[in-house]
Amino acid sequence: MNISNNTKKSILSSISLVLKLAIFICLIGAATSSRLFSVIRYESIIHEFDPWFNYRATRYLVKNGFHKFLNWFDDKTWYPLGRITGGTLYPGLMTTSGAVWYLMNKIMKIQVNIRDVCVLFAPAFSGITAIFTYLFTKNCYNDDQLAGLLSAAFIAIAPGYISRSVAGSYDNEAIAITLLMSTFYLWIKAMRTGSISWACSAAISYFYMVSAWGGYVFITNLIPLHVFILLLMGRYSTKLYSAYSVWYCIGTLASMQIPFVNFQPIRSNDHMSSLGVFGLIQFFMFGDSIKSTISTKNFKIFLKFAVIGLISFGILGLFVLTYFGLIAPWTGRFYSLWDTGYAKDHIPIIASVSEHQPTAWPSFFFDTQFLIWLFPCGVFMLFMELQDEHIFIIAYSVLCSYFAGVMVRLMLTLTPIICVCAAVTLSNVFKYNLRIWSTIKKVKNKSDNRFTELCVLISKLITVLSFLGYLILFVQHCTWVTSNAYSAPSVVLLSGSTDADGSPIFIDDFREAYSWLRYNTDEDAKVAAWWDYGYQIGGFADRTTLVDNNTWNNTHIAIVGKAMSSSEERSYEILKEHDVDYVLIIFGGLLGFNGDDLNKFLWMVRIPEGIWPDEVNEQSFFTADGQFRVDAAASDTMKNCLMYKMSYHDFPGIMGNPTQSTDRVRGATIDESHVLPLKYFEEVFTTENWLVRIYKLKDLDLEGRDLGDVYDMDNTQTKKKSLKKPKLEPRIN
Amino acid sequence: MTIACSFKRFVTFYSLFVFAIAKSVLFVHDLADEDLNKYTVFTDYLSSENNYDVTIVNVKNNGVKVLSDDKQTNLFDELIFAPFTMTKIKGLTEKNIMHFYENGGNIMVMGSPKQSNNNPVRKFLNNIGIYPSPKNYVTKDFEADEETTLVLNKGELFLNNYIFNNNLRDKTVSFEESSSCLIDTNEMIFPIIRQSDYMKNFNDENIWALSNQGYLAVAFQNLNNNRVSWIGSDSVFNDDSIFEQDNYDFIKSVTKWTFQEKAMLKVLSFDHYQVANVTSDVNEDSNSEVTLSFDEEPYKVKDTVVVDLYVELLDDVDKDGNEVYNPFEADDIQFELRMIDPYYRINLSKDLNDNKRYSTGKFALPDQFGIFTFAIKYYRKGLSYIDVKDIKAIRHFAHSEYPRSYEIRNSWVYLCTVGSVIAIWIAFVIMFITTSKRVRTQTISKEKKVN
Amino acid sequence: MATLQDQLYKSVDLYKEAINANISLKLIDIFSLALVIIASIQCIFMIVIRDSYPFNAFLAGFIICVSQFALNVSLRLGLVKFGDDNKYRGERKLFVEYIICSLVLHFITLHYIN
Repeated sequence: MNISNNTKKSILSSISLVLKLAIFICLIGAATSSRLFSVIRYESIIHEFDPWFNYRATRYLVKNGFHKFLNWFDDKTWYPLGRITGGTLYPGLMTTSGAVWYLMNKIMKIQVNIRDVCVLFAPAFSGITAIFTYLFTKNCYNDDQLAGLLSAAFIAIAPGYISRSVAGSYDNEAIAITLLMSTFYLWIKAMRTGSISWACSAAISYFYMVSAWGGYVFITNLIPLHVFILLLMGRYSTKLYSAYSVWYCIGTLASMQIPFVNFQPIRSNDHMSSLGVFGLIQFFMFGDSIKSTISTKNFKIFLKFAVIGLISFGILGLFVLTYFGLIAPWTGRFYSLWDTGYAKDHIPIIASVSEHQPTAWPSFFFDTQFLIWLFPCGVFMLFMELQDEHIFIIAYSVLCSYFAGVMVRLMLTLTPIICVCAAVTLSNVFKYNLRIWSTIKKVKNKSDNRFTELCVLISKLITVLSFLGYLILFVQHCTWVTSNAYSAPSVVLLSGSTDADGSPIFIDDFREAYSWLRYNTDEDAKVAAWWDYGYQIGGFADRTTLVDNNTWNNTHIAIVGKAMSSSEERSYEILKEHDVDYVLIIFGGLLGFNGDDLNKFLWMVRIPEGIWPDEVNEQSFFTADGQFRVDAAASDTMKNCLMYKMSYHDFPGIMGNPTQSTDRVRGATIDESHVLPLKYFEEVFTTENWLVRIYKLKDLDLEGRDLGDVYDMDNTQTKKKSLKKPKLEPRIN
Repeated sequence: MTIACSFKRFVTFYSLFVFAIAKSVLFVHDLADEDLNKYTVFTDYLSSENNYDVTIVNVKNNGVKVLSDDKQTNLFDELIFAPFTMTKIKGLTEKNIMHFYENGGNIMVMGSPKQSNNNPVRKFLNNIGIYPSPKNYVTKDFEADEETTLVLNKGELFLNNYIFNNNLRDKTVSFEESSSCLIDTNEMIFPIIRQSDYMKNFNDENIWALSNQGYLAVAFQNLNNNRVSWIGSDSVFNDDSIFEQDNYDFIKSVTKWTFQEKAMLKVLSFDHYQVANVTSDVNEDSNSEVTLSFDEEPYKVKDTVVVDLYVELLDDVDKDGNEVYNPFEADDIQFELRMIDPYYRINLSKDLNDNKRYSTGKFALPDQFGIFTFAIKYYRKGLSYIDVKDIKAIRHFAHSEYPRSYEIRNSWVYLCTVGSVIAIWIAFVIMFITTSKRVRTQTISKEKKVN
Repeated sequence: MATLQDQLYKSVDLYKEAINANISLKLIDIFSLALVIIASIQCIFMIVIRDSYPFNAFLAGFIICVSQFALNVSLRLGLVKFGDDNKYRGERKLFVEYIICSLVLHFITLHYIN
């Protein structure tokens, strides 16, 4: 009996192992394949904006080696300032994909294009994320494997995470979420076992995270918060001490190796909480060892003095150091986390990024579907037990829910914890309700309260079935969202209509324009465009840009904004000063493309207005009654500014009516008489659907005349000039 | 190495006519035959003394064609306009003249009070900022006995020694029946002779130019170094008065200047390179300097660099078309290192051993990375322009180029502490292992006892 | 308050006894004390010369002391917890972990100070 029981057990465990393996393989398959919609529907192409930079950097890395990559001075961006790219990026993503490429090409001798590595990078890592989520949940929630598997399944297909990790979305976040989960997993492990080697590996994982994403600050604050809450709850233990102090010391020292991070971990306020908690835990350790030797009453007195002294010292120190400038004050992005209006008033550049807008509530449901309402249940269940590691999840979910509400892009960090909490809820639901057999037995037993048992059975069945239904709906929703909302590369657009044989029509204007630039302009030509397109111009067209998506220099962006919003003569001056040869704008009026430059135009006014309030004034771009109009009612400043002129240059007359055309984005009628002629610029290229228009700055007049005058002279009918004495300014020889 | 476009054009242009047999000059006029005969000395000067291929065209009947059909090339190298009394000339419009000029031709214009008001040449001049006085406005000198004869003998009236050299202030030029012009503030206009304080250009009702606001001869040079000259009176070209005083000298100088045969600066090369100290491996004390071009070693902040400009001055072209070069003397050529704003402006000094070489000497690049423009812009009135630039990136220190910790004396302390910590740690580990072995034997023996 | 003082004295005595009983603890404590001294020397040095110029070198020097101290304390706490019981294996595991972490720490520090 005993032996058979043992064999039974071993057979069962091996079966469960095989099953688990199978589940994991399925999970990774699901995670990867659902992210491949974009490749299938479009092609193997890098998406959006930032990935283009990462891709360009990776190519540089692969071509020039790691050492040169670290010291890369990029003279093709931010002309003429240049950018120390090697020192101002998080190299984790590029080095990882570079290593993968190297491994495949040089060691395993599989010929792989670096582009394919980059495109498929995010889907591959999402599979790893699922595994780490499993481990994390299992460790966090009483070694509950069901919860772990469920959470892994959720994270694999949750749209909130997929939005940043479809194939081609080669962004820092693609690897960062994986590292986030692995760091948290290792931290929980370290905290539970008190083992310094787990803490050390958590620190190394943290270092990797620091090297990959600026969002590492979230970990830097969350773990100390967790420890702090535990300390306040009086749950200090030696395990906690070893885990935290080892993690903090090694993690901090390691994170300072990244050139971009540099001395921040001890200088900036964002990192101070972890330092404070480190000091506090030293104190607790000391107190704890004393406590064991002296009486409780005296210890309390001792404690009171010490705590008050320590806290006041800490706060005072912080203020003094900040005052003397030893610690960097909070960054603007940090303020905007607390006050959503702050950015709009003070740092328009941050507010102008759509990712930094507050989240609209439907997007919570859109990104996580029914997990969002299982999420609070999960948190509640954890509250009921409230073990040390549960507190971690609670702290994480509370903090992140707030942040996700403030900034759309932080939805990404919230998604994993939603998945975990929802998995906890569901696993409890199933654990209770799946004991159907025992209920059936009870029903069969003909006991007294047979009716109640029957009711219980039915209700259990209903619950299980309905949850199964929800799960199926969830999978459908995820697939739908992924394929429809998150798989567009935004470099190639899909027009709604289809051509004669039923295949979809692609709108490929961006690439058309960029390749025009690549093959028709000088190699050292400088292209001015709004910063959104900087990375793409660098990546596709390989031309020098003035500003790009790495918005490190507000003034430089303001200069471009000023050029776009000034009169032609003034912009010509500004652009010539910066050696610009071409100006590229996005115009959606013909196609009905919403994200064009005229719709972003107010930012091009607001950003320079912050710097030169005398020269640029937002109000002057509105009509008298305060509307932003582009048709006949537009203000004179608006009609005279470069962006307006460039957008509508030659536009009236292309839609049949010889003098008028309709702007399909703004629903405005543009008449020939509103569009003033371009005198200092000439159109050199407009794409098929007019989405991208490229203008060239005319050369300086050989005879030193003003180009506006030359234009007027060439285009007005020379009437018989009466010879009048010219009015001349006095000349000094 | 990019040299500004204008310079390139100039070089190609120049090399063309060195090998060409003769420069073709078109003399355009609408004069009667007897009036044309007055120009024999001048046309002889052009054709025999300078060996130009001179074509004389009267536009009265047939008009003239100066451009090819696509307006891209000029049919002649240079143009000379005698004063027109007609207003409309077939084949010659203001735009055509401008095309001719921008294509690389040079133009010499004779003025006269008899000149018609609306002719294309006048419009062309107005376009570039020179406003000759209208028909029948005559310049008179109220100091002189004969008011319409302007005897220009004062040194201060001659404003440009590169065009007409009057350094010694001893030259005299005389104009008869002259017109004057007004000019705008365009820096590309170089006045040659101005009116004296007692001169006035006027007709019966209106004054055109009073005393020193009016100019009797001006020149213009565009960014491609093509030249226009306008001389207020046609009398100086006439056989009657061409040999009076220094008139002939004046005419020759202006012609040579206009046709780019003098006062042309030729940039032989514009160059910059790094001077690096290399400690030889054999002998550590001997530092030798090596020069490295940008291609060999891109610049980084604080590098020592030298900028050189090799330049010479074209003084004359002789009858056979040989160019006569002389060393150019100047102490005001300035080099500018610029990134939006200028960072350095350094005067170039002449190399004593090489009279073509101007150099900044060694200087250190600023402590600022970025894409800098190395530029020399030398615009002097009367000389052709020098505008050369080269855009190069100056990179930051690589992480391995900062001083290492062991090179900084302060950090020796910290290095020592790190070393000692590690040393103590090793000692500690060894001691810990040796001491804990005893513990192990004890525990094992204890275990045995228990068993 | 007298009792508090007494008890503090008493705890010092207890401590002395403890470290005399276990030579490993004594070693750890001496090492930790040395670390504290080295760290304070560096701080004083920096304050005296009023120049934090090779800041990375200072940080490396200072943080290695702090980190090594934290590692020591972790080791010590672990040892005390196991006490003189027969958990030799646990102790050995702890010590191996300690050595690995220290080596990682030393590598990072040396890399940082270059």
